[in-house]
Amino acid sequence: MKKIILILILTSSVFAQIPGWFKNLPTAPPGVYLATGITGKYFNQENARIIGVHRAVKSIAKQKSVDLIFELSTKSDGRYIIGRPDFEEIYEGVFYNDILENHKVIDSAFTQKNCFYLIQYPAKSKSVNVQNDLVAWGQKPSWINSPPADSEYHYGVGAVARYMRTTRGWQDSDALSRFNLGKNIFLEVENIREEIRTNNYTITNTFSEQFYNLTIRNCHVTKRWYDVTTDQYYSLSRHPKNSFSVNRSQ
Amino acid sequence: MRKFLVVLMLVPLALFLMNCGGKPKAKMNDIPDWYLNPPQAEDAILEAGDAVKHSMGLAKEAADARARDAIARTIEVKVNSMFKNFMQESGVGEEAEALEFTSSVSKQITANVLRGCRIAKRDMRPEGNMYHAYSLAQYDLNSLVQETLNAARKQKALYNEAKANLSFQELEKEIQKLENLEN
Repeated sequence: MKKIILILILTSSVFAQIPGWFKNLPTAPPGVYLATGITGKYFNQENARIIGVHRAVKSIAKQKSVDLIFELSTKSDGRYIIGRPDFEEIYEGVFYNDILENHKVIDSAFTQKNCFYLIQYPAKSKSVNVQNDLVAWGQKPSWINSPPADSEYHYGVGAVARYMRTTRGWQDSDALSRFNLGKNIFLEVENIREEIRTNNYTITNTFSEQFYNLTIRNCHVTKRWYDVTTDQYYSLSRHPKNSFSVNRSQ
Repeated sequence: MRKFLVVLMLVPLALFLMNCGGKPKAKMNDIPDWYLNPPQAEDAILEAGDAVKHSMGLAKEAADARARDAIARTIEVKVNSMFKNFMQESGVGEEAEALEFTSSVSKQITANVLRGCRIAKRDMRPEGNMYHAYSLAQYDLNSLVQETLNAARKQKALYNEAKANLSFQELEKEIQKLENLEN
């Protein structure tokens, strides 16, 4: 009986469908930005639209320009390891307001659990043609285990798991993919390693710090994948090389 | 009936003892080959890192960080070696030793900037309730040469000793020469 229930859960998850443009963001023509927003189910459809569009607008504001501040400190004395990662994302309020006033929703989709919105900025530019098919998550894509590399773009992969709320899962996975991308661009690494040797044993003390403070432009989440069997969320960010600036050294 | 009660009492004890084993360990077959034997390349440094955490995101962060830390440590050795060779060849000799970065058997201090150090491979394996992340970081040696030159520009004290004998362009040539030798 348990097996049958498990099979039913798995098959219903495997065939869970999402809009194709949420899984793979379509390529926008130069000067045009596309972004997706996702919400849970609301009784009032208008509330879902407001929240979904707000998330998509925020995503375009970050695409235009975002400050990423990352710091990871690790202390270890041979017995304990204390790691403290700090992530901070800052985007321009001016951009947000402008996008909020000059965007248009070009597609939306509703599934059993979520509402999806695809917006375009600026609104006056010609609407980008997108396919509004619902698709399944399918097989695990190769970019998760082997992140892509080419001469034009930096890539970053974000991953989180076991989130109660799908929307929060995607939000964190997207943000982590940007921070991961930042580390591929520029990273300061400091490391102190001390070994105290006595007759019979060695104690190793290490202090390690990795940090960066960057402003990146034109970075967007191009692909997403959800592992239905293990409840894992993956996002792939892409950013044109040389479209960044290093802000300050700590 | 008594036997049944004894068995009933032993079951929780057995379960308790089973949980005393600490974190589950990865089976050897589950460990990616590139983690045990990181690939070698003439034009890049590759180092692996891993981490086991309850949070998948944190496991990935920690594994990436450890792989990059390993790269930074490898680079520091290479950079020091490049400087040392340069100082000896530029005629400064023993003074170079005094000006080197603090480095000894007991204490190692590294401080580097990694530009373009990316994670080439990654794997995530569930182990009980934990996530075991494996990362392979790759750093292009051209970036290392560039960073060494930048570091040389910053290390005024080190450089001032040498510039009477060798122009900066020559230093660049020297580093390139060392790079070619390594390749």
